[in-house]
Amino acid sequence: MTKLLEVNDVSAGYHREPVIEKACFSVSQDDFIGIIGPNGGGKTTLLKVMLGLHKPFSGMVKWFLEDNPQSARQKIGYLPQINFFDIRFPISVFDVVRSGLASPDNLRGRFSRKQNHHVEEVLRLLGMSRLKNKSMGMLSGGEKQRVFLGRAIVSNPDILFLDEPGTYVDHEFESEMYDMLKNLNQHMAIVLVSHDLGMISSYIKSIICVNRVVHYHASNIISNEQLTTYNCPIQLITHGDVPHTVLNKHTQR
Amino acid sequence: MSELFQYDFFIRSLAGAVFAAITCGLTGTYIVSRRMVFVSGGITHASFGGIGIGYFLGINPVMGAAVFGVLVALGMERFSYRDMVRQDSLIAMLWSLGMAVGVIFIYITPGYAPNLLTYLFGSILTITTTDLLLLGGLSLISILIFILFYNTILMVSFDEGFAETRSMPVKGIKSMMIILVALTIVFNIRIVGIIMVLALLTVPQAIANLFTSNYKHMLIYSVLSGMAGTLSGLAASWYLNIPSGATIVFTLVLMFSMAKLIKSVTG
Repeated sequence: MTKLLEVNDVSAGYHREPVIEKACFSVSQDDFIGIIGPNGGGKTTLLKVMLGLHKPFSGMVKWFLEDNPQSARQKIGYLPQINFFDIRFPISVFDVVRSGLASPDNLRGRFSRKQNHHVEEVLRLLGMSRLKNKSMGMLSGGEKQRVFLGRAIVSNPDILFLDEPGTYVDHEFESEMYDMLKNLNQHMAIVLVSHDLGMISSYIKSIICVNRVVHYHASNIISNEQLTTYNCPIQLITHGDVPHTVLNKHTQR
Repeated sequence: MSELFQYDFFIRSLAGAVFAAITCGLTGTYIVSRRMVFVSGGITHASFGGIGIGYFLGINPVMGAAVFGVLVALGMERFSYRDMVRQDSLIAMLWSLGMAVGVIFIYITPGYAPNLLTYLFGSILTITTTDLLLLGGLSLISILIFILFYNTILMVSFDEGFAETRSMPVKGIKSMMIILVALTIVFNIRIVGIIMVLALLTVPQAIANLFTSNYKHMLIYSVLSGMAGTLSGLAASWYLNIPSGATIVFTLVLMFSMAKLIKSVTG
């Protein structure tokens, strides 16, 4: 399995205060990784370090997609947390999705007919064609999240990063979205941050627990006991068998 | 009306009003959409320091304000990246510091400072050829920037974090735009003055925003409603013989109120 990204002994935080410590793991081609942990535990910081948006104190993030980190970044898709947006910003649905195709080689923002067509296709896939000329401010939370998902996947990335994609989304669309992600996972790696483990547990293939210290588990089996040690909010709503296997204890502190 | 056009100064005021509407309509849309009105207020008032230094050095005060305004603007942009000071406190500090520097330099400049009130309250009727050339040149540059980089400006304004993940030159675009904001403010001080220039950058956009929430339309409608406001304000100030800057601002706000009323009646 081709390795796409390696996080090597990374510590990071703000104002010299570490938020995450000793993160060591890698992301490979078929991965579907769930990053879980309590609020304020450093999930988003870890994601931002991986994306190159936040500089780590120590350690490094190595990309295998391209030698040049700038071109490597063209091969990732990103769905940020929705609360970072100014919902009154005057921008249309179509323009938001198309901004996922932006590149520094195209500062003038001239998009080809083929690119525009592809944007239309992604909008259709997400059931948003009807609303493509609507302003973002007029959409419901779920509709906005579809648009941001569209923006993240329109470039056909090699890795897709999602930060709490389930927020503001109704349950019906949430499971629809995870099914969609499962399909996308056939040709891209997915790294997903979530506090709602119940929803994602049947989709993810491996888990990263983040509560300052970062632990990687190469399986998606989790238990209540394990969650309690991390103080994760537990909202396990499961269908069928509840997974109860306890993972091995962490060897490091 | 026809005899008015015989006066050279009236033609120049008309040109000034049109250029003001173009520069403020375009750059104001960037300011309003990014919620940078307070930053812009800071740059506006801080540029008074440049005017004072201009008087003291015996150079064109507008040039002094342009240099000072651009430096302050870049400073505000730079410091907003770090979290050492609260950004709004920093803006307030630079806002007052600029005014203080202006007052001190005007005080220590020997003799009387001519046209000082012009910079505070504007005087479109006495606009000079140099002012017009600056404002005309800036109009052209603004139009070019928005035509050339429309999509990039839009995406960086909307979500700079995402733009960074696409390796877009976010800092470069933001620096270019903050320089444009500073120059737009400084060159328009001649039209309505430091005290009121913020109105030119926000009221046309507020009118436009009543009718559209599309960025491109907002740019165009803001320029058009700005033109309607500056030109009719200019005409009103001429016929009623009242100060032009104040009349333009009053007209713009009146236009906004009427548009809002029409909008709420028609739905």
